[in-house]
Amino acid sequence: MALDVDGYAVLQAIAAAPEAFPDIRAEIPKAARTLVVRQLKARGLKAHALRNIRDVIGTEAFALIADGMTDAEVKAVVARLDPHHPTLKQATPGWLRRRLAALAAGEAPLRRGESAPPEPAAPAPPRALGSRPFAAVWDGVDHDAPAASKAERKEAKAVAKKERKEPEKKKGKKKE
Amino acid sequence: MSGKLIAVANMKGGVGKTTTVVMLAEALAADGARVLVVDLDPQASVSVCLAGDDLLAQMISRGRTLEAYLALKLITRHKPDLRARIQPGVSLTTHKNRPLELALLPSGPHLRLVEREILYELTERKFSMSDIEGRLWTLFQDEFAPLAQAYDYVFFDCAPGISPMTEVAVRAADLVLVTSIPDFLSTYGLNAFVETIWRRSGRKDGHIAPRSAPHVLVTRYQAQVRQHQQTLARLVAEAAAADAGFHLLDTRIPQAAALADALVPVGGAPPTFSAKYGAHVPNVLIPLVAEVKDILHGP
Repeated sequence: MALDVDGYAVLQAIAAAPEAFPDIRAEIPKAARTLVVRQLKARGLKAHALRNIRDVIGTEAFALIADGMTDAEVKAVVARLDPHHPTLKQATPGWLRRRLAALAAGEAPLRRGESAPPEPAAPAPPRALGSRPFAAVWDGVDHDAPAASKAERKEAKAVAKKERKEPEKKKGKKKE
Repeated sequence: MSGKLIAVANMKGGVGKTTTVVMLAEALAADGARVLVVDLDPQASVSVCLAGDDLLAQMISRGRTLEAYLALKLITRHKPDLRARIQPGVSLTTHKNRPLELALLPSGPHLRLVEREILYELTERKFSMSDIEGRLWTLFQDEFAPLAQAYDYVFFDCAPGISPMTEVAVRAADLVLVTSIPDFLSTYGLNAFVETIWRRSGRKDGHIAPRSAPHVLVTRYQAQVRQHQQTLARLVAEAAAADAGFHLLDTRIPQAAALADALVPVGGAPPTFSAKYGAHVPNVLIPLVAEVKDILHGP
């Protein structure tokens, strides 16, 4: 006799038959988030394990779960995985989130003394009125076919309805 | 089943109408809905955000805008096709490896002039103001409302002030979201809007009563700013009153750089929905979508 429930088996069973658990539907994403975030916050987590988590749950799900983490949680994970990154000390929350995504996508943490690749120089800002969509001018002509009249629309609807019914009739005849 | 019409409006400008339309439309599309955004604002902000400069310029020059449609329909009395002016698949944002299913009926900068011309033209044809409102109402019911048959949600990004088309959209919508910053002046703007559209109109004045009560969505909220805290408390107290002038949504849209950035069209690789909105997906968008769906479809 098992001493405890087989959690994996139960979760798998819930996922296979969600209709049996209609009242906890809203709890499922929360529970999934909690489990993954707890794993990400585990003390022993290494960069390769982070990559593995992302590969297993998928890029989209990983991004959504990471987005739901607080800035402090993200900072703690990045600081543990990439402690020698020179930007870490003055990193903004945005940078930390991008770094977490980069590490999960396969970038290696920096070794002690290793410097980060230089950020590409920012391009010169484009002119404020460099692009002028509102300078486009309409010539006042209707370039599209005119709208069908009410009677035409009604007729088209009737034809579509008839066409939909005919294959059904044919099907019925075949069965007979 | 027909989709729902959602007007996002306020007489006051700069209160987050366009931001709300873009993020809510994208969130509903990410949730699997088919969404159309109709730009009723001559500033064409939502058109720029969704279509980008090049596509919008192309649409303006081909007359594939709301203003061209209205000019052809009401001024030169042609038979323009409204559906031909809708640009499908306009979103660059991807979700689950697919672009969001978002369509756009854009406007252009001449919408304001066209609306004015319509008033001149119809007045010349001896239409009274009430007749003009009736003509626009019929046009909306015949041409715009049926668009909801092909979409789950149709958003109307309304112009600040109350333009003729904005007023019709607000009166006909299944849900009117009134975005408001919880500060001193925005609350007066909110008061003016509610008084004008909801409290001083009805059949007896020749106006058509709005289908939906106003639902206020607090935007650009800064929890640490005392004026915002105090104004929010007043909004909550008003919404709780027996004769409340509006309903108040529980979700607050925070003042956040990520949300402002979400409006900026990007060059290069298309962004994913989750990367674009970041932590606001679980904290703001998921509860907001749930609240909007509850209002429209029931819990």
